[in-house]
Amino acid sequence: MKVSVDLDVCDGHGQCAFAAPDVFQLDDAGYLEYDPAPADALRAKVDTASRLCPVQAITVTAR
Amino acid sequence: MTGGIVVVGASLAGLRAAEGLRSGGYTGPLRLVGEENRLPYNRPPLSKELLLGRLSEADVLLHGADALDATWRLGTRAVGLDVAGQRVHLDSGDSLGYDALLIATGVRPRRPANLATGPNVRTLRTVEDALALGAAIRAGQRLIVLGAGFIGCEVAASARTAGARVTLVDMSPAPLARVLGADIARRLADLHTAHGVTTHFGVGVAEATEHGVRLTDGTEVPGDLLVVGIGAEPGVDWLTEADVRLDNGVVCDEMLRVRGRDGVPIGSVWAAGDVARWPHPHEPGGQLRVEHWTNAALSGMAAAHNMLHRDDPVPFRAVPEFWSDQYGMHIRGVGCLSADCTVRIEEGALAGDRFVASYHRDGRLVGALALNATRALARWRNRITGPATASVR
Repeated sequence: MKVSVDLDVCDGHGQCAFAAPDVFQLDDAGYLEYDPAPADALRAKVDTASRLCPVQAITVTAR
Repeated sequence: MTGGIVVVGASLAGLRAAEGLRSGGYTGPLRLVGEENRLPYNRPPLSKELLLGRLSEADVLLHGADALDATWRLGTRAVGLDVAGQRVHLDSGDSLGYDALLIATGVRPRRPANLATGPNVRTLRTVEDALALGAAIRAGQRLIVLGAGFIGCEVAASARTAGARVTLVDMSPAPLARVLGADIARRLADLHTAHGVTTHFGVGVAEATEHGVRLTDGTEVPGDLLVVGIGAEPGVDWLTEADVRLDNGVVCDEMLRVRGRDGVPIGSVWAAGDVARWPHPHEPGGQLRVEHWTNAALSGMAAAHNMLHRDDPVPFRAVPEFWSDQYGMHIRGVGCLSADCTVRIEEGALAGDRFVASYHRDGRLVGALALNATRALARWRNRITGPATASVR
């Protein structure tokens, strides 16, 4: 799958990091680092992360 | 399964539940009923970016609604529920039979008993409310905000940021102190005075006058518009005749199954979001009703999971969390915060622009609050909830 995050909209809430820590991490300055091509096995967690983003910054596509 | 699943309440909790049902493999009929004549949208921007005109109404629509395989009955109110007959009655005169029902009808703003709402006395809950309020602020109207909770404070902060004259009034001499503790509540209230908001705490609004309002201590406050943010009531008007237990919300068990009046979970009805009250191990007295965004999304997902796993549901144990953005400052809270906790500043300084505070009750960590320290808050959050793989995530 492919993950993209609109970093202009990202506000460092960190809900994605709680839901899918293998894919999303906030660094110490509060900036998001993420894996843009995580394993398909992580799809459910990544969908959850996307739905828990309060600013809807995350888009998930199949490829 | 001809009736399929009906979701009453087409906002965040209802939408996240509906998405969860489809992701979880449900392929039957799915109908959502929404009182507002709009697809689900995000409310946090209503007191911030939308109010300031930085986001449009299209920008706040929740993603996922248009991709959902579901039937939408928007601009439609549920007016009754026949639990035994498994049927929801609508204000359009028809009714929807269901095999499973999710109640997600949220809350409505509390209205003051002594003030009639009108063009100059308003609440803020919907996109329409926010657009009208934003226009009034940009037209130079002077604002009086009644209620210094998070919504009232965000309205005050946004209006002040837009250059409006703002007066903030609250019945409590120390707004938010019951939740955050006196020192932190005062620190947050000081943000407003520091930005030029006039505050009157420990008084209420007695009357809306031609020139503004008169407070209960006799003070006349000039202003053009009163925005009332004094809390919310659960959206249960349509359930008063139904065989469901109501007590400050729809009462559920820990699986989010709605209880009948006799207290027994009905088995075909669930609830999620602002309207749901459910048992939580961290809350003294045992039951919580939470009006925060994250809870609406998580409880919607949890209810959907349990609707599809009736034989092996998962208890909903997510710890409440909230945030507030005022004057460019980001406030984050997690857990069950209360003034009866022992509150300790763990990082930073209360008087500064960054701190993390812990909340302990009976020696146990039950909550934490951060000002401009979200990354640091995560460490405390994990100690309250356990590892980040808890519950339905």
